[in-house]
Amino acid sequence: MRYSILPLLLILFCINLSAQSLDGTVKLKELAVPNAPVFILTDIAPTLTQTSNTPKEFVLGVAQSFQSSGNSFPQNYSTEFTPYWWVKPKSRDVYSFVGLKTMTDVRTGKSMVVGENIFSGLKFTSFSLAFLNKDMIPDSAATSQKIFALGLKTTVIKVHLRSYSEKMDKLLNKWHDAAQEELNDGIEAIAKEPDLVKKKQLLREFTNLRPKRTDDIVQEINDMINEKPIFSWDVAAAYATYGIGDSSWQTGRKGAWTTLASYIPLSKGETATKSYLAVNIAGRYLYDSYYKNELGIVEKANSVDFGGRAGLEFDRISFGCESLYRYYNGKSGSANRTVGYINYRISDNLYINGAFGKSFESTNKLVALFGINWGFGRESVGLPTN
Amino acid sequence: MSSYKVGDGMQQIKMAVDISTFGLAASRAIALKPGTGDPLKAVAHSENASGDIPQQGIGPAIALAEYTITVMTKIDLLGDDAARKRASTQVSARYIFDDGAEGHKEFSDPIIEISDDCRTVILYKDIELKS
Repeated sequence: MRYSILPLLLILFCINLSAQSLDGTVKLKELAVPNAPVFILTDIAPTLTQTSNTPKEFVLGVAQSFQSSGNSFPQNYSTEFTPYWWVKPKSRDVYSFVGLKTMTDVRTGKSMVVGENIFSGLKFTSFSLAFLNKDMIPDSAATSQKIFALGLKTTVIKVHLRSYSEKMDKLLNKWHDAAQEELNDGIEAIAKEPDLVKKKQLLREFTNLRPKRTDDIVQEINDMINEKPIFSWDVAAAYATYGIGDSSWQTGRKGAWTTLASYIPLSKGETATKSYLAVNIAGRYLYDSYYKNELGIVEKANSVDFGGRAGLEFDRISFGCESLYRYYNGKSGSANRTVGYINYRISDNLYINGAFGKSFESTNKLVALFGINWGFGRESVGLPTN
Repeated sequence: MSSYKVGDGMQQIKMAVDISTFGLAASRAIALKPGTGDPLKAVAHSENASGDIPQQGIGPAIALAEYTITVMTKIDLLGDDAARKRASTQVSARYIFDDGAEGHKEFSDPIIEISDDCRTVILYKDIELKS
């Protein structure tokens, strides 16, 4: 009984301590490039947004918003989309998807892998867009403005070690050979079945087979895709314009984010590594034409935040130090801090965090935090899903 | 069933398969003479995980007439549930024949089977070769 309540007490203890965190300070992870910058800029909850998987979904979404608003500006509507998924080019393949560069050998006529395409992330550039009717101006009048916001996010460069393309190519060939054997085992019985209904039943059964050999290789390939790059550069930007009255449109907010990351693998081998020396630098610029300052006056304001983190990452545990600096309207702010951190991953969605160091904001200039993080998921550099 | 007129000459019939997917793909093509107990003939297969079969001769027209070419492609999709679900709807295939009596002809309507967990997609196509 004593052991059964121990994890619960530990969680309650952690949650209690996490409440001591410095509210109002900027956290380094907030500087990271967001997937949908428009939603950050206009404070839209992700649950209120749609993902437009096809041009049809996008057009229908906009049209329905116009229809339900009853005027020339759509009712609240926000979406994110990646145009690359909207088109169906005739020759997509897995090599392009995992960022490998291929060319045809002129002597044999066969396609071969010649390295990594470091710009392969550009094709997955995603856009976010919002039409809102919301009071974004913090004055005494409770009047909604028409807001239109547009943003984009992309990975400009992603580079792995040279061995990445060689290991990936080897794994793809290994899968191909195994899959050929499976096809060879199944194709004859299906092809010889004259009855179309029975043929489809056989195909269904073949499709739902889970052969261990190819499944294991697919898992290895997924792990390799998630191997972090030795260098990557992500950027995002967003712009929101406010419709004041019926005819005047003015810049409301704008923002830009960038993250430079480097992960040096600490181990070598045929399989994907999960241990890195990690260095990240992130920057964020935000501008608000209607910011209510501490005196309650609405003014134009901007902030520039820079942060960095260096540390060691292993499968479950990571530790290192991070620094964060803020410039508000061109002046050094008070939210600067330098702390050491330690994170332990209990499961994919559950982390224990600890931090200790120097904060320029708190009176005694020392930070000591211990908390639990639930629901943020495991950090991943996997391929985009929309 | 789709069909292609190969004629009755000695010229080589050429075939190519173009698979479009972001998943791992492997294709295999066989020839069978329906209604006979003849063993199948392996005619072509993909050379890498693109699943494409490069254009190649699969036999003289006179020898292929009355055979059915069956092409089967196994695709294993990558990523998490959402990525696989999206990718499973973006799979397509073209089956291209050349140098028969009908000249250049393309087919792009395979049977598509998607596994319950969206991990695997099988494409299946029969093409009857006629003299």
